[in-house]
Amino acid sequence: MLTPRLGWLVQPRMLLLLGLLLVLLMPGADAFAHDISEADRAAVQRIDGPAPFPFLYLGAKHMVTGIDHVLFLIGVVFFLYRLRDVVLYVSMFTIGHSLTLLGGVLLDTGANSYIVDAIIGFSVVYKAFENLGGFRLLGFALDTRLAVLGFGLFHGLGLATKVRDLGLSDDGLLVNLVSFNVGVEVGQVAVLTVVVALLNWWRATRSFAPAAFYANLALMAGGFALIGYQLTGYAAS
Amino acid sequence: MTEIPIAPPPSRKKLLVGMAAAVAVAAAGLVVFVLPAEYGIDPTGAGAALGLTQLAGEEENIYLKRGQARTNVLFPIEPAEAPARFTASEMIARKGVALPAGAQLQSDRFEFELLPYEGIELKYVLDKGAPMFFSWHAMAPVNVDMHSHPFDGGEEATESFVIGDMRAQSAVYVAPFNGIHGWYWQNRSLEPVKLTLEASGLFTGSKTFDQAGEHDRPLSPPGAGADAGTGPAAD
Repeated sequence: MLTPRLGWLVQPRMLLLLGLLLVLLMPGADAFAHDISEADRAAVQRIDGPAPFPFLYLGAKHMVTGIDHVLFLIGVVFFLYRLRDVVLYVSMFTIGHSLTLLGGVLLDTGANSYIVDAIIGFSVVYKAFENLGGFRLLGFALDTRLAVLGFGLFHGLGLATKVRDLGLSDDGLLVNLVSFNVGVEVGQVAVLTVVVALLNWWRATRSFAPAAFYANLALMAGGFALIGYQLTGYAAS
Repeated sequence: MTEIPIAPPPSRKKLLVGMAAAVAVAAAGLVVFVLPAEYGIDPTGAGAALGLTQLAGEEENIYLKRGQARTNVLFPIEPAEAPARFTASEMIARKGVALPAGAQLQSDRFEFELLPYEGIELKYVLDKGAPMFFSWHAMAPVNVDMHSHPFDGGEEATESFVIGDMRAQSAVYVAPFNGIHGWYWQNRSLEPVKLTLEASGLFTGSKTFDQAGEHDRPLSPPGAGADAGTGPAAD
């Protein structure tokens, strides 16, 4: 009798949750405050001139260890099962964040990073709310692609702030910036590969439909936590 | 037109309850874990009980509070206050600090170039009650934490006297306990910053701490021959 009772432990749903937790915990202490670390910062400041690979790596690392971007991506692809749709929505996100990443650094526009990061947290809440069917319940019909593009702009602003914090030298700025951007996309593909594979696997099981609601509530809780974390930082700064 | 398959919307009540639960979980996680660990904001006291607040640098403030609660330890000297020529013992006397009869002051000069985001810590070994006059300046503002570790009590018993961004500091210091006493400087700019310190006092030794660890360094009296100008080893 014990085996069936404990059967839920080895359900794909549980394994998926464990897998997600592992992915999220991989960056360890970096996960929550995913600032570019002090050591990376010091290393970057010794770089004068084009250095595509270090910046590519930093961009990828920032994406993979950035829980806010990862949660948003999970929300975006949660109900997408066709590769075409994944590519379409992720392209929207990529166009959005690349525009503000490149523009923000090149035009040297300043934005308060706490506020930008709080909006990024809100993007997670928004996507989870949409996944929960909240907008249909309210009778809204928003174009999800536009929303993903719009929030992509804010994710890019957040990325631009992180790059500016690195204190890039003007020598080789464009090469390094583009390398960072390409690195962000590489990191995004790495994250998406894991997330889409796990979601597809989970979606094929019976546990998906009933648990999807709770998974999106968990996403939403993560988004709320990010908002609270950033707004407190803003208030304290 | 791509159709995204989405499960039928939940009932309004289920959605509201679920969202309320999400907010509650987020708020609880923030208040109990994240805010204490990240900012040292700990309304419930749970963060301190779990040892999370030490991640937020809250302990530093405790050190500073403890150090600043002391009197007769640090006697700052304003730039205008110092005469053109003076000796360290005159300065110590001017601040009303008595030197033991026959005390022989040691002198030292420390020069260091801080690369961007580099930090260095310099400490003098002083016994309780031993005075020291010091004056340091940097070519640009640096972040400094002037603090002391007693030999008894470990790191826990650290006391900070001044923390902030400054480019110069002069004072007479009287050691509140047997231990090592000095400064941690960090360059938070993108340009190298040169730092120079001169000190005279009843110290018996000096140490530096950097990323490689702790190093004993010989005292380097200013103007004591050609070797004095080179300062201590950089690493």
